[in-house]
Amino acid sequence: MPIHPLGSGDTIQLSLPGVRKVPTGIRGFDAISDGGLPQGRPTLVTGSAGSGKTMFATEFLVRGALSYNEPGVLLAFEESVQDLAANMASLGFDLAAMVAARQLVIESCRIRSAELVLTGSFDLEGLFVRLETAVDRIGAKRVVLDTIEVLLASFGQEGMVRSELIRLFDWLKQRGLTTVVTGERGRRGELTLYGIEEYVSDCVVVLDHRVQDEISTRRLRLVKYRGSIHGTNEYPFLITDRGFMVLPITSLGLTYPASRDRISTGIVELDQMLSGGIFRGSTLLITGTSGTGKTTIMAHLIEAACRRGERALLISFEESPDQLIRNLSSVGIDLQAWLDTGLLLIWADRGSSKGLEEHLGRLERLLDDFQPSLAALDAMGNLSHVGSEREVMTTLVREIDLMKRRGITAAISALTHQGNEEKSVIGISSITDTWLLLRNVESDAERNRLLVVIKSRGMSHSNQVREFCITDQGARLLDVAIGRDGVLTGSARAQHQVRLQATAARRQAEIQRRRQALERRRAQVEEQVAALQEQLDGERAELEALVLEEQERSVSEASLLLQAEQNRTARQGQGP
Amino acid sequence: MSATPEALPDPARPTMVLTLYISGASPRSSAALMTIRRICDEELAGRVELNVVDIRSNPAALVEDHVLAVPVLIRRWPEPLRHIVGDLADAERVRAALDLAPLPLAPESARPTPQR
Repeated sequence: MPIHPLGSGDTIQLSLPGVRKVPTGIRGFDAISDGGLPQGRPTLVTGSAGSGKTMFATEFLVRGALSYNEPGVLLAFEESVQDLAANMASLGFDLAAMVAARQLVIESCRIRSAELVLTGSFDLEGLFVRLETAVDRIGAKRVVLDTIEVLLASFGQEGMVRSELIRLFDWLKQRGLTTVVTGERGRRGELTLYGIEEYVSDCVVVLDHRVQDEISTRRLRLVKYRGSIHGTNEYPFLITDRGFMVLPITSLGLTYPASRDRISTGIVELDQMLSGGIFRGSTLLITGTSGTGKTTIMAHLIEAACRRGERALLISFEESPDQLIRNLSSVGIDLQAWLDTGLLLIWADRGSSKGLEEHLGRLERLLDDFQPSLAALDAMGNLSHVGSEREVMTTLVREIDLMKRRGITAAISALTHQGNEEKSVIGISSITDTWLLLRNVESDAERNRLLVVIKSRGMSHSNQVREFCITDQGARLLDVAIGRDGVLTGSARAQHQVRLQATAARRQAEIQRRRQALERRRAQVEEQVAALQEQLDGERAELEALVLEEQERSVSEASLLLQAEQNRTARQGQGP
Repeated sequence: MSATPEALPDPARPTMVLTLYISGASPRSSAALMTIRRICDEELAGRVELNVVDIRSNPAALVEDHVLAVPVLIRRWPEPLRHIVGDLADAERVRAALDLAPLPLAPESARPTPQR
């Protein structure tokens, strides 16, 4: 399927020139399609039976007539007019009233094959005349053909019917009618059973309805949109009592201005780990098993916002405002004071009394009325008894979307279960900017808390696991102590500290001992040196004495010789 | 369809009620019209009521009769209702759809000589 190269990401800019769009009015769809469906051109909406394609097509007509003053014609090739009206009544649309008001024309074009006898060549001029008559009668701008490809099967002469369909689509384009053609997906993954996509080359929307783990999930995907930029991802959608709702998950973060302004989390050490706090308007996810301190971190965020003079909204799904205030005052956070200043609003809602839809609606009203700069949702797992996990996820995504669009910093806590802390929030983690994981560790008969920054987009952040302490002065993060078996916490940390000190003392003592030993050895050596010196001196003295003695001896010998010589000389003088 | 079985012997009552939807003077419509006229004249003379409707002159009737493909010959009576779609070129099928006996001279080769 050729996809525009720029379309590989998400909606990033307005359409390329040339393709004008008309809004469908279907919630969420116009955002992901960057404005709606191509004006005056046919769009194929395809899906398996029960995927909601008829509802999509009909809502496109109804919204067009009600919101955009574009009357519409619906030709139903499969359902009777009565069935259609009944289906749409369940979405709150009164088709009969709209028909009476000349906003809609609905015609059943069912082929009764049993009555049909083919006797030669024909064309679909009858269909053309009916469509043209209906369009002209109310000045229609929109047309739905649901599901026209059954004609290919009903009439047998496929080649002929195909050429008639080409003629029909040419005519629709000529008349500038924005058209939705529905198709049924083939069993082997073909877009449509009869290949009708050949004639509808501008825009193809695929609807999917699967049941996974007994949870029904609906997805929408734009697989082709010629000359336009669009999101290519799958988007979950809901069929609600107010019609279709497409949830643009991954377009988040790209269409919103990203602030470079950092705000404090209210915990100095955590700010340091995040190199200065979280970005204003970003989404912070805090996950952890129960009792890891998620609510305390949220309370710090709220307090920090109030301290800056900003409004903060706390939405609690598990505790009443009173209970929250009491529990948090025990860790030194006084929410009551901020409630009194009017900077804080607490909305406690168990969610069970209302559907997810209503929950979403109430949140939107609160955000609009209170205009907070920060909103904290504590804790999202508690909505799961209201709807399936996926519905809850998509609702949350929608809630995050509401906050992001308004530039509200969002903090969401999620309860996870031991063993799969990182898995259970996969659906939501991708749309959050910062993710803190809290964990209980059990060792030496005590439980201690650890905190790690799993990710934080757009900032350098610490990769260290830190010990997270909740004191009566609030939360603190302690520097890491790393032992043989990982991070040390609690008394293990204390023990480790003692061990470290003992080792240091031992080392000091050893040095001392060595120093003394050396001293002793030095003294010994000096003693020996002295003794040797003494010995040496003695020997030298002896030698000198010998030398002296020798000198004396030679002197006396010489004097004796001299004496003898003198004596001899004296004797010679007495002679002749 | 207000007819009752007892009406059959009534000579004023046609045994067949047909409506042919055509699209102006298109070749297919003209061919269909010629074919059904010949059958009516030759085999159903006096016993058939044939209405010919141009689709552009009466669009409302198209909705009522569920017409999409043209030309189409609708056999309203006798029941069951039949939509005989196309230019009626397949004579065998047309005759079968109108409950007429097959042509007596079955072999194709025996028919090049025009039969009056």
